[in-house]
This record gives sequence, C-alpha cells and structure tokens, in this order.
Amino acid sequence: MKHFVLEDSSFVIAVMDPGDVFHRDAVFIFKKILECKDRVIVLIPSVVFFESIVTLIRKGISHSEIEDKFWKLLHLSNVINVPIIETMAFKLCKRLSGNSDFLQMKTSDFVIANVGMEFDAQILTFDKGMRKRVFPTHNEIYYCSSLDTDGESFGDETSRFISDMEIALGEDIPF
Amino acid sequence: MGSKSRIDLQKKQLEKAKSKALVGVPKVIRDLYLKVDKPKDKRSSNEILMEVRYGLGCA
Repeated sequence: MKHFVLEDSSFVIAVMDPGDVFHRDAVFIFKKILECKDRVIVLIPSVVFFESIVTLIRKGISHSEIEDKFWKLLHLSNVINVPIIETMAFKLCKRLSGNSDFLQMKTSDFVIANVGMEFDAQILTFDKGMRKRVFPTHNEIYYCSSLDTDGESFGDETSRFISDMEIALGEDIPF
Repeated sequence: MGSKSRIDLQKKQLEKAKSKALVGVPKVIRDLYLKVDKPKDKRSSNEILMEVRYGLGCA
C-alpha cells in the first residue's frame, strides 16, 4: 500500500527557489521523501501548479524556465498531478457539514484539504494561515520549519511529520 | 530520561540534521532549482505567494 504526501505551493516553491527562506527545510523533507521513493507518492493538486506559476512569473522567472522545472517535477516517478473535480468538493462538504472550522477555510485551504483528505495524505505547507485553518479538520498538516513560529501554537513540525510517516510506512526513518 | 529532555534532544538532533540538509542534495532535487539572479519582485517567494493566494493583507 502506497502512502501519500501532498505538497502545497509554498513547499514546492521553497524546494525550487534556493533563495527562499524555507529552502533548507523543504530540501530536508524532500530528501526524506525520496529515501522512501518506492512507498511514498507525492501529490501535486492542479491549484498548486497554477499558484506556483503565477508566483514565479511575478518574481520575474521566465516562462520557459518555469515550464522546464515543472516538467521535471512531473516526470519524477513518484509524483502525480491531481486534478480537482467537483465530486471531491461535494464529498468534503458532506464530511464537514456541522464542522464550524470549515467556515474559517479559504478557497485554497478548502481545495488542498479536499485533495489531502480524499487521499488520506500528509500535507506539507509553509503557509501558517492554512496550517492553522486546516488542522482542526485534517490534523495531518505540517509546518516543517522553526522560522516565524514565535507566538504560534505550533513550532517546527518536522519531527511530527516524520513520526507520522514512520507509523504509516511501518518502519523507522532516521534523521 | 524525562519527556521534556527527550524532546530537547530530538530538537537538537533535528537542527543538526537540518544544518546538513543542503550538503549532498540529490541531482533530482537540484534539477528543479530555479535561477533567480535578478528578481523582478525582490520579496521572498513565500510573500508573493501569500499575496497571490489571499490578496493583500489577507494572509
């Protein structure tokens, strides 16, 4: 049985941009995922591609370079692109009806949580707001950095991410 | 060992492991690296993403 990890736009961009403040944290986690390559599938929802492309274009990166890098990402054997389809939204609505946290979610949170829950995936993000809003609904969401966590209810969640992945895979993943 | 000490030890081990994260990065990851020599927008990618995602002041 394969295990699923969903990478949010903030995580994908942090891997790709060596100047990103979360680059080291993202590479550390991505290396761990690659070590478990044959058992872990990385999910990239369509919305992640759209958000990442817009962000990188605004940063000034050329269209051809963005296209080249995203093709390379998609060609990794354990990475799959997940389209967003309406039936998934209906299913999530049904699961969440009566859940007040649901009302705090923004569109991107909803879409990411939707795909994550559909695949029972661990979600990686460097968006603190999304981490906070999605956590009450789907606690397998992780902010894997100690940066900018002062005053937050959570710190670097790398240990929790690895520990949960160990449980899912049934084996140790050493630091 | 108490649980607090164990957590502290784990934090130290994690920090040490993360400090070496950029040593020996696999080619498959390096192939994804972008060249951002002269960014049009000098803010961090994450700041730009939050604006793209939520709009100004909404992140």
